[in-house]
Amino acid sequence: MLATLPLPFYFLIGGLLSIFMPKGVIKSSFVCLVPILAFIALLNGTWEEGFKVQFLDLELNFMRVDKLSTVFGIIFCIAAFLGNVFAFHLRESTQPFVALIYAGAAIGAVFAGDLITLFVYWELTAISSVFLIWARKTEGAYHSGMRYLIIQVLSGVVLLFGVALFYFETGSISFVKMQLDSLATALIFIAFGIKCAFPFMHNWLQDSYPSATITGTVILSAFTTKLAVYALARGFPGTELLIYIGAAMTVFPIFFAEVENDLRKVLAYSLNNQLGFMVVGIGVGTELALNGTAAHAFSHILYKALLFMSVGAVLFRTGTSRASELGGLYRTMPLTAIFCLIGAASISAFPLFSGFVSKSLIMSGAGKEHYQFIWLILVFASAGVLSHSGIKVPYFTFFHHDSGKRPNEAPTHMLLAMGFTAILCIYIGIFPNNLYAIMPYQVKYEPYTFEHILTQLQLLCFAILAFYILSKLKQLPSETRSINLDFDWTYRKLLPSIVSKLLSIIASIEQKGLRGFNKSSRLFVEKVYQVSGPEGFMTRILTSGTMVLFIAIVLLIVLGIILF
Amino acid sequence: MKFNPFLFFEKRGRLRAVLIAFIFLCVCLFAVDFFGKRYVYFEIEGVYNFYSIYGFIMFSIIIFGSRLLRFFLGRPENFYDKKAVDSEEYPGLEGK
Repeated sequence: MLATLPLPFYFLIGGLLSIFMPKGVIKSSFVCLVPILAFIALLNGTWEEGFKVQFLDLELNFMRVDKLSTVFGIIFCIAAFLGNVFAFHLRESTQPFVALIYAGAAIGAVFAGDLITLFVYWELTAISSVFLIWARKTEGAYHSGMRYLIIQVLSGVVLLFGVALFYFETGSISFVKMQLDSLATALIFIAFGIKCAFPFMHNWLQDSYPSATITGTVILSAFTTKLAVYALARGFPGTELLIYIGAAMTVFPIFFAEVENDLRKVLAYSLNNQLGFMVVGIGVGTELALNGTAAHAFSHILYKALLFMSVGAVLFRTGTSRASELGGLYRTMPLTAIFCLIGAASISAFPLFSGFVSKSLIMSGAGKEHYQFIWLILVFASAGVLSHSGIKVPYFTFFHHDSGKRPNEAPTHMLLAMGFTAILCIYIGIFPNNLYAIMPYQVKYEPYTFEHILTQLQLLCFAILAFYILSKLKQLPSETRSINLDFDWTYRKLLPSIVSKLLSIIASIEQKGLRGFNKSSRLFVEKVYQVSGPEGFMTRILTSGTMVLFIAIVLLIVLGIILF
Repeated sequence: MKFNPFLFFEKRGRLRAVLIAFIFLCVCLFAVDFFGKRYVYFEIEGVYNFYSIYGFIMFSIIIFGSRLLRFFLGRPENFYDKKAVDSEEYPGLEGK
């Protein structure tokens, strides 16, 4: 029975059971155990036939297990485990429960063999994960969570609409490769794009991730966007439009990340930039590029979680993640600093670290298909990654000027989570073939060639040299308490101001209209009153003699008319 | 004493030695391009020290470009709301 139980059910049942466990070590241990059990089940499960359920006249498949879904299933289990170890100190019910449900929903969506199952889990990821933001329990987090929820649910609604149209057009709900040639597939594409943080749909990410709790951000960083990457890789591989969308995604966040003060927001922009690489890989669509996307998603989840963990540990100890208030923490948080540097080296793609062996698959994929301009953009973006995640995050947190803060080292469980993640980042970097072995297609690629190592070191070292020189010339952007406007300005400021202007115009029209209506109706009433009121012509009280005289005159007139 | 490898660099001159070693590495990387032409996907890759020059220039563009971005789009923390997450302190300070 356990061998065929759909993998997400481990998380969903585990999450429900966690509610009834006493807060503390037992609950925290249990939520760490669940992903391990699921991971073992994934490696030993027998789902060759899937897990099919008849619903009305539709056949749903809860477990479509192939190489692509397995890669994402494995890394989601690892990410859930690491995130829960990092959150071991929590003594509450909501976050451990939600973390399991959220991870389970993401895994359920990855293994969904049909679009209806995908939709259900798609929405469940949104509804569950928002509690990781609301768990911060501030007014700002509440509003941020509401914006997140609206956008995520909107993505689900668009998906549902697309799926319904797709069913009417094709009579199928199978989640397979699609062509972007109808309204149905366009809607599905947009739904994936919202979750994947395509340009102009991306701000939910930078808005919500820094608003979540310390542990919540680590968990959030792993699932939603990578689920969207998986969905695009499954549904739209080789769609050329994705190459250009992905290239744009690699570029614009770099500039924002460079001047953001909140380091968790810097990492959120950085995440957006890394998604761009994966989306380009999907757009190129060759076996090499798709392997690159899967490999990069795998290593990205690890090093991004490591960076969020290290900044989270600093936030946990100092109460801030603002670059302007940090600096010099290497003195008392050396292990966290080392882990952060490993994460930074991995995301920057230094040789012997995970990013080096995964990103190069995508770059080579683009190169081999002769996308020169795109390739140049990706090389540019690689220098950009180094600038914000490779240098800025560790430098302004642990080095730079002395902030005077002397916090304790991160708690043991956080160090363990960071240490384990760091080991994985290095392990993948040194032994890439173990990662390549689980890729969707056979990998024929050798990352450690003299040319590759040399060119990558040239790129990175000279970018660091530029950083050093510009730093000496005091040309780096200063770290100040500020924010930068992004596209969310349109729905956080512009749209509300337009709506409020419209409302005030409507109100004033209503007021004027009402005043005019009041005036004219008052005049009408006055006239009626004059005519029909107690003193009015129509209601005058006349004496009987007057009336007799009046009738006599009328009769005389009538008589006169008859006679003459 | 707790393990802290960074303290090694606090002693006078050691950080400078690291810097000199780094600049020496850069010189070596630059010089290696003298020896032979590498396999390239595109012609531009074969330009002498393409990666070194591209990395240096692009990094500089990112820095100046981002400063320009802040000039136009930078706003105070409470721009959206006085109680927005941007300007609030992290609640609880559980581990401080």
